Amino acid sequence: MSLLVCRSLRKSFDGRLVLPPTDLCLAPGSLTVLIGESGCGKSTLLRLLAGLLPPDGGDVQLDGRPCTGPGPERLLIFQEDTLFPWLSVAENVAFGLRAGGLPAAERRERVGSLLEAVGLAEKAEALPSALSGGMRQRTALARALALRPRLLLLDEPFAALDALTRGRMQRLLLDLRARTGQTMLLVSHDVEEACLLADTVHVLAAGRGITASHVLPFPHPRLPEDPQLTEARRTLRRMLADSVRH
Amino acid sequence: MRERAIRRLLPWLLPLLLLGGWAGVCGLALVPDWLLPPPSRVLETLAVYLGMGAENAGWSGCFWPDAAASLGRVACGYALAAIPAIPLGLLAGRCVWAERLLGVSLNGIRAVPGISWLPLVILWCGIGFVATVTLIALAAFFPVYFSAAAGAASVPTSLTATGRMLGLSRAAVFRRIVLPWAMPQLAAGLRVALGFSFAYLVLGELTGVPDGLGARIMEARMNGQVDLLLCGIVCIACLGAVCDRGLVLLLRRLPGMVR
Repeated sequence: MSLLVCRSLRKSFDGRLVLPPTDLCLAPGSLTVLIGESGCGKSTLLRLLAGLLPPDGGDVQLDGRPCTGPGPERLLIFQEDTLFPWLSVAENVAFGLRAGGLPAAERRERVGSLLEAVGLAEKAEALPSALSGGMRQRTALARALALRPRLLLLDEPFAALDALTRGRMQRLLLDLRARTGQTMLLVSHDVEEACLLADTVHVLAAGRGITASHVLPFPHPRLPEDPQLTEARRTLRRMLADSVRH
Repeated sequence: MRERAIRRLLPWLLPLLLLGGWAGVCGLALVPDWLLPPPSRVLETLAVYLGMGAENAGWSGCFWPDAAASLGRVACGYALAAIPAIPLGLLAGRCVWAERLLGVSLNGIRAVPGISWLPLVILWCGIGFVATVTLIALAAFFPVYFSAAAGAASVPTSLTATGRMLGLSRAAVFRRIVLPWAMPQLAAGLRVALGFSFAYLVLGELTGVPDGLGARIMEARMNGQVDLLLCGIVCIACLGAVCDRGLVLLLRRLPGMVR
């Protein structure tokens, strides 16, 4: 059974169709990557799934229940920095738990273990201004995971990071997914990233929705020089080029 | 260590230079002393005004009641401005309808120079406490309102969206995200407004109120006591600086200020 099902989800802005009726199913524990050229509606689709935008039509169901509006069961991590600059790393991670009324002792324990998991235990009391870009994204990831969402949506979360940090963050994401079984839907414009992370890649084309999908049934960790991955990379590039050409 | 000492001394550098220049001008008799008395005489006058001098003038020791009267007016006018300006500004910053309703009118009223209000305020409120407080409130309202609006409008959408996803209600997003985010800008507006309050305090008190620092300055001008006039100016500057420092210390405790 699918964790998330969206049917005929569509959205226009000022009469311009950004996302035509789109269907999408996500299996529990899967890591799906959406790729496509800029402006093809990837981020719009994520915002619709997160409940941050009202759709013009169609519906989203999570665990068979319709979703309306934002909620902690579908969390979106943005590309830009969304840490609260006046709160420490630990307070940022605990923010949603506090809002949800989790008792202080349990909150501390969960925040502590998550900060350990993302390698920021020693930065717990630091303010975001004292962190690097990678550390800030790790904090945002820990904050989202603290709420144990059913679905984690990531909108090009590593696009602003340097290549080394991006690689480290990708490994961390896979590690967290292996440990928690977290279902993830990640938007990227990077074929390389899609090949390294995804179980399934969907190609989104401007004004046409999902035009192609590709399953990558290879185990993790994946090596960029793996011939299977080279082939997958070639296929995805071709699918992406086709989606732009039409 | 050296850097710390420099940092501590730096704020005093400009006042000391000003004082040195002033003493130099007087020492060289470049300006007649009935126009610009030397700092030493102003200091003596200040001691008398504070009630610590040997001289027994009509205004000996009057600093304290004058300061109390002036501070009372500033406090009332400032509060009268800030209390509505903060919520209205925050609302205008977050709600496009509120901004459209208030923006044009308030921008228009803001453009009217404070001095233009003076005849109308005197006509409506007479001379005294109410007129001065009204002038201060008029002056202090706009910096607070516009800084609150700008601060609230500058909250990134992704931050409020994150708050909603993390389980906050709309009211909680306002309280726990918008307000702390807007706080540094709002604090800057509150500080500017406090400065304006002192400026308009003097304007209000110059109109003929019986007490207050501005009234003392006016009285000194009428009697040709430039030393007392300068003394009043120094007192206002010091009181303004002390109040600003107090405000900064108070604001630092509010959420969103340390980041």
